[in-house]
Amino acid sequence: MSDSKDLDKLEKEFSDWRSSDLEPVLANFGQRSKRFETRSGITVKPLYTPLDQTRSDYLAKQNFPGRYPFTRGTYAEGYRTRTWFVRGLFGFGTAQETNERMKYLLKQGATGLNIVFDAPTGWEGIDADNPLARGEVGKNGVACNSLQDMEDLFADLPIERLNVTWAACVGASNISLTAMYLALARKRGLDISKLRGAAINDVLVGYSLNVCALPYTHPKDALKDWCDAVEHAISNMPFWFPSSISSYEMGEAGGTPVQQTAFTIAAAITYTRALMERGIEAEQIAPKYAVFLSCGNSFLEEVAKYRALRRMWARTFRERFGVKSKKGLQCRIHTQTSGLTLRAEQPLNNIVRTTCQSLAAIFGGTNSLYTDPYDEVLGLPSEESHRLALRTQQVLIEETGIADTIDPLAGSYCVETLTDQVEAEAWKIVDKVEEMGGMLKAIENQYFLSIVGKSYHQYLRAVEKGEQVVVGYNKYRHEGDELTVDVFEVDGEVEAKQIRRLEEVKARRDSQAAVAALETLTVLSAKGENVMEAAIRAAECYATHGEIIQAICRPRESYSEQFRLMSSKI
Amino acid sequence: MKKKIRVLLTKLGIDIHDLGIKNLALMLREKGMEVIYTGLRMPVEAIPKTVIEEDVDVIGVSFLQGAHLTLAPMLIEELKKNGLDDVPVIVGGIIPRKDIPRLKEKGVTEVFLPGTRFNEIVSFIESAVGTRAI
Repeated sequence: MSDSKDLDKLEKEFSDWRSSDLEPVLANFGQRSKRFETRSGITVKPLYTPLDQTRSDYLAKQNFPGRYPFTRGTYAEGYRTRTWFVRGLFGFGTAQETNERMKYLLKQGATGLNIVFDAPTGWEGIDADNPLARGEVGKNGVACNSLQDMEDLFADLPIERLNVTWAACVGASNISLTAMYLALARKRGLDISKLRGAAINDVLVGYSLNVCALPYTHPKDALKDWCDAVEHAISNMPFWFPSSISSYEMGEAGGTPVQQTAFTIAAAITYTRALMERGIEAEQIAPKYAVFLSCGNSFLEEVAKYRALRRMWARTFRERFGVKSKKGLQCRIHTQTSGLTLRAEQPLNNIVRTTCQSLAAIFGGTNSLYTDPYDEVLGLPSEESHRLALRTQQVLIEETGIADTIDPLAGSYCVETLTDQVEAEAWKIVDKVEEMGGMLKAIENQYFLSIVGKSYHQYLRAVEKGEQVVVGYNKYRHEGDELTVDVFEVDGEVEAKQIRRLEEVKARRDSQAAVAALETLTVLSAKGENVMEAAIRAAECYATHGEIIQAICRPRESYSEQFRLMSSKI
Repeated sequence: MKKKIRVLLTKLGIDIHDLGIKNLALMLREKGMEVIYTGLRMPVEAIPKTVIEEDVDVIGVSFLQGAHLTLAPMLIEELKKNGLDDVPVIVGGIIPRKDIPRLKEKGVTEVFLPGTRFNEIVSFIESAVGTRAI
């Protein structure tokens, strides 16, 4: 915002500094790296100055927090009234065991709960007695097969006062699990419109990477299931976020911050269009989204990513969809630190990594944060490492003062420039997806799978060659360094226990009522109507998770073979 | 001309973490090996047929979701049933250290934990296949 005379002077001084002060030293000693780049491949200059931000119009590009385009934060108050949600993420064994862990973490100061379902429940949509579930029941999350499990999961917990996030559930699996939760609320006589929470229910990311998706459901059908859950929440649950766009998976598949940012926007466009085809207005849709990001090691670029994403999000919804309300333009972000960056060798180093990643997310203005336990790479995290992860955030909040002023890195010549660059690079990818015809086409073309795969493989090669240092792995190795961490072990009997619970539920329930409710579900699904209410009724009859999903999927063509085939491409 | 080593890489059950194994496939190919990657969700029962049809020298399977103690022994059993117990099976992924002896007892040839360098796996495969009569 300097006038041109000042700029001329600055430019002259800058070039003088460069040639007289900087370059001779660099030439004399050599630089410590051939290339300085962010994880997305953006060149990092030795110095950023006002010259990098000469065209910066503060009000148009940054503005005040909580004002369009929200670069400086989702809300006006930043972290002054309360900080981000400090989340615990867990789920293991049976519902009762997870219930105990939830009570413990709430007592330890967690302000939100992320519940992870085990792979059979979440990613496959099958019950514990399905042969495919062998060896997986209760392992990486909690098994939840019926309303009975949901009742045990939340026993003694006031769900009307909790803020709950479902992780690891998509499409029809999300319909069934949400239905069970709503059935539980109704059984307790609660008004479902009061419930608060979110579902990390992103079908597009799963198929884009060909991993976290119900493998037998075609992407277009999964998109229909997604629409059902969101439409139901729009009509009935004002405080429920039925879809977190899960760019986190992009990051954890090795995608760059730019790719994560771009995917978020491209997915939001496809989702919004799908709901608009049902006659729902963008103004009603936009406030229902949340975004779930992974935060990696490329510190300054990660900070920039959050700021760029909020700006792109606001622009997309205002300019493309004509959304006016503030809530519809605000991008709400939950973050998890990057498990992919954690290392098994010298595992305590991971505490430093996740602390830096948490810090980047906070400087970026995340609205919610989960810090990975350092031992996650060795097995299931222990109670102690979960507590340590929680304490990491508590130290940052209570002792460092970084949350006391809003968006403290704004105005940094470097961070503002990187914010612009991440945005510009991400738009290129968004445009490419739009040229293809949206995300369903991009999935067919395996577009994200290929760009993410390529960039991660490049990264790994750089690591193997030693060009990219990973402390403790390809540099500063400590031979004879044994992994002495005690990992948590799930009770070996959990599978048998869960199958027994399932049998008991089936024996106790009114079978005729369950069968009738499931038939209704199939009929509605065949007609292409919204199945949410019917799913809640089936859940109330103690129809199982597997049964509810099968009832929804019965009239559809299977995608399993295609899924496996696509997953085999490298 | 020396015969190329043929490696079958696979993911069993419903574990969807395939980043490591896909990158291993690329690295092994760069080292001149022939890699057959099955993709996700392979039933254990389907492996012997692939081993025979593709004439593989070694099988690699990765577990990151904790099903290794269930599925690896099932795979070994299935290979035995088909007279393929001489094909080495190597396991990688997130495996608690104390499970390694349990896996080896069941017939797993070697277990690679996170932090292993790709080159270590390459040399291991070369020597394991070399000692086996081709």
